[in-house]
Amino acid sequence: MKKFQYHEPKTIAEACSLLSELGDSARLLAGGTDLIVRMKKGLLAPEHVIDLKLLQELNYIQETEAGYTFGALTHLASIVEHTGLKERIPVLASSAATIGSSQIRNLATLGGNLCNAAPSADMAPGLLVLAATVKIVGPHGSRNSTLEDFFCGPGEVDLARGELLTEVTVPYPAVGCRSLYLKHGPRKAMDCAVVGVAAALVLEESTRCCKSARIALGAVAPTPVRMREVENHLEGKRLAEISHPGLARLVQMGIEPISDVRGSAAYRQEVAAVLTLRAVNSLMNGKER
Amino acid sequence: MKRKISFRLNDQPVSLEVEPHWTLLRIIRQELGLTGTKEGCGEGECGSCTVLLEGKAVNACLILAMNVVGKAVTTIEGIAKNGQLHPLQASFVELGAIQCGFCSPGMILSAKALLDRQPSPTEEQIRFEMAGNLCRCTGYAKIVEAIQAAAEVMRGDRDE
Repeated sequence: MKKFQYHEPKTIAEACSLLSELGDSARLLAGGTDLIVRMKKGLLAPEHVIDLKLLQELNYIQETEAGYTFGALTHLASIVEHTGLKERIPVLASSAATIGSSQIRNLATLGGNLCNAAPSADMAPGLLVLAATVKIVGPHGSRNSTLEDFFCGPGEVDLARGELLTEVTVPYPAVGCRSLYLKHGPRKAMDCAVVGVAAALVLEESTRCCKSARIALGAVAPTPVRMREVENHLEGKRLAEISHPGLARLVQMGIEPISDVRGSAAYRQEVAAVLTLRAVNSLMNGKER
Repeated sequence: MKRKISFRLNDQPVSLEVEPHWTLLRIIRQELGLTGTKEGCGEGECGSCTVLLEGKAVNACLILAMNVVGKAVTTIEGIAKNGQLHPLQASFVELGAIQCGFCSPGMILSAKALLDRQPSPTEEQIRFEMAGNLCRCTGYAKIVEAIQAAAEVMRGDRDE
């Protein structure tokens, strides 16, 4: 790794001020599981590294009346292990569990996973279907954004110079909502998603008709994406009324996968449709992860 | 420019000067001379550099030395007590879970982190928790058995 100037701000304000001053010549260090890897491979050689380790006030999982809030420096392992979260919003714990290994999850942070903004970011689809919002702090104060608007492109998020992601808020899903995250890839662990699908459905108890649907896909577009056409198609229908080819076509129209080392665009098109159908089937048959 | 850091290593206080870009793995092996922790990939994929940081398994190759200030680090050299092997070390040896031995320190520490938190894991849980430790020699079967055997000992089910 190339040498760098090392900074350890003691407050959020100090971190923002450093970011403003140093701009593109600096990188933020949270868990290090993305940054350090790229620096070691020579893909990144920042002149300055701003280590957020002293900002432990950003490391929390808080249960509120309206939902859960997470500090940006919450370790993914904490999300996997949080008993309250596993019960009330299980899709987040199960999404986190698909990332890396125990060792990685003990270091990696929620903020890092989101700000690294890989199109395949595994925390994103689950958070998108739950309408998560993010809090951003900068030299001029704080602002909120939907997570959907936060993602701008591969590796790009809506953070202006000097700004820092500090918190993610997830409202409780509606009563009776079932959700899950399916991650497809060649290995059962230690791999990026080739396609990721999160789905959250609320069914009418007696008819098992879909009252509301939220679907988000990862690794098949420049950013993780909500699939509104698919959601509209599902709403008001029972499982038997959903045409598989129809749904598949809607999924495929809503994504723009690329070919890369992990799979071809055509493969991803195929798998995205299959995985979405699988998720919908699973949830409408009464399973939940 | 070097900076002075202090932390606890295998229950002993340690202080040294480090460059900010040095990783924990580098200082463990080079500055502190503890070569039980191995460098396999240097990218957090193989787990052979696994150490315990405040009891949790982490990849030392991805942690800057600056990041363990004031914390407790445990390496493979630190888990035997009073000259007696830790039950995991003993079971790995007895059950043939070690061939070339390169992955073993990382495996044992990951397993220790698991058993300290979850004394009765299922095989599925063991395999899930150990997913970040690769072995090219054994095919993992003996490693899983050794972890199960050590878990039994640690639970006190057997006389030891």
